[in-house]
Amino acid sequence: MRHAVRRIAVMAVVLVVTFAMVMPFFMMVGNSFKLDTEIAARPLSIVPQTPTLYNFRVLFDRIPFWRQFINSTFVATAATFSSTFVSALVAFGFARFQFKGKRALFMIVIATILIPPQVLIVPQFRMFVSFLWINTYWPLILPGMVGGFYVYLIHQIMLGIPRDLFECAQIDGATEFRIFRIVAIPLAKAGLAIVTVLRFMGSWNEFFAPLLYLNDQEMLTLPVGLATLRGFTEITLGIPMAGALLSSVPILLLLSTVGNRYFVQGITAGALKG
Amino acid sequence: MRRTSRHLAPYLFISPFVLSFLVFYVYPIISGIELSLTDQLGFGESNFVGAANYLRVLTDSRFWKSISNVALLFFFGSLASIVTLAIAMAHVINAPEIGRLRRPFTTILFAPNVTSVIVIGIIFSFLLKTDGGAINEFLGLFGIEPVQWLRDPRWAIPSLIILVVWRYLGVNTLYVLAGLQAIPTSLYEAADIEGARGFQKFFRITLPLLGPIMEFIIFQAAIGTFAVFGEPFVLVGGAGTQNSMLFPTFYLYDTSINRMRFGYAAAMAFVLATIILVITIIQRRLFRSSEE
Repeated sequence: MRHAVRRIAVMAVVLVVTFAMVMPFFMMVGNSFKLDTEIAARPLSIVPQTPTLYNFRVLFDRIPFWRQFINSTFVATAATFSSTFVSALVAFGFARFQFKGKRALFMIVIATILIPPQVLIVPQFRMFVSFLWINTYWPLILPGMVGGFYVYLIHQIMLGIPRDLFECAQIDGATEFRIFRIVAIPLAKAGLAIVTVLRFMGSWNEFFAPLLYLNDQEMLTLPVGLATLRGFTEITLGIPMAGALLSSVPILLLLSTVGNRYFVQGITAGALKG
Repeated sequence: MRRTSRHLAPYLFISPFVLSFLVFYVYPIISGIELSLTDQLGFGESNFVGAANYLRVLTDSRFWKSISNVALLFFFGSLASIVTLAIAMAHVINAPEIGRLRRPFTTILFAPNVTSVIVIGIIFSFLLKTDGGAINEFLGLFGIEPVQWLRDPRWAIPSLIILVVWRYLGVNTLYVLAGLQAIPTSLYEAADIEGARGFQKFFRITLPLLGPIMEFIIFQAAIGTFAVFGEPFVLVGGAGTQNSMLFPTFYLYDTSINRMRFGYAAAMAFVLATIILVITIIQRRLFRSSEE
């Protein structure tokens, strides 16, 4: 009897919360295929009565959507690969060797995680202006490349690799870079996957830096491109909705495939280590 | 030859970090301090003004309005709503009764967290619309008059609370779950033998042992609330009616990038960083003392 009550209670919560979580997404999908007159119509319905591709046509007219989609893909891919590779190099340096200043340097790695990013905004902006980096992708790729958290995460996993493996390779005459490539990288794969997923997601969704550094429509990444549609969210909702829908497809696909494993692991790894 | 390369190897591996640290952290912070002591406007000449910018920040009512918005969103959104709901959701996910729905339910809870803030902003500008918005329509079913979520300054923070609860409930539930897994089951077995009730186990074992993860959650929430930017940017274009949605990062952005008052903005950033630092220290103290 008590079991049945508990079961009903748990299921009721699951149902209500699922409803609250997915409804906004469903409404985004539905509204993308509605004219604004229908979006404003009452009573609300999710399924469009007269489905239309009008919003998508206007969207492609207003902003170079696919161009921005490719920009986002390029930036996210470049940021992800460079970040994972370089963070792994640094993590290996800390995990493999004893050297002067190691403790202090590692403390600095951790400290970079804790520095409030707000203090960097203004001076970095002026610095990148002087580098002539405005309207280029460098500010989106280089500053976040050696992420303190990424180094920390990969470092923790590399510490778990038996030292004998490194030494065997060393006796066989392998260079340190080769040891990194054939021993450390394969054995730290789980950590690298987490970093890959987190950095890709972060970069794909990043809004602040691209807003600051990109101003040419043809150069914008998707979040900023979509934000330029905001000017008329008061007038029209259908068009930004259509853009929002198309832009969230890749990341939701990623979540539903590899996501559960690496997103969830990445998040919990961060929490437990923090 | 071989020996020297072995000796150099560690430094070669960590050199990208050292380089990145010097270029993207050390130099900006030093030049930021320098900048904050000048009246730098745009990219031309500037004069040394000492601590004048800092003193102006301390009496800048818009700045303090943005801090009080952070405080409201943090206490009512993060602490009162998200943390309690996340603890509840973690228990639901851990309940044996959920059965095969566990994984899909976890993924659904987590989905908003991988969605960009702009997409979320666009969705919520529909949900929070005064006329015909989904939330007002839903409240209308219970005879509640339409609320001017985004226009009425009194409803600005509640609007953001709804948004952040939806966005961050999932990820915080995962944090709590991670914390729950770290609690040894033997403690609960011992409590069962002693005949402890469910709520006794919750308050005597679960809650105290979630301490470290709570510290992490609250730290993340505080940092995240100070960094709020995209939500008000999409929903109301930045500051909202009577600065009701003004957040420090937007104020900083507006002062520097839009108005080019770089000297003043640099000083504001350091005041902000000091506030964040003080909060972090207080929070550490609180958690450390409660653990003893």
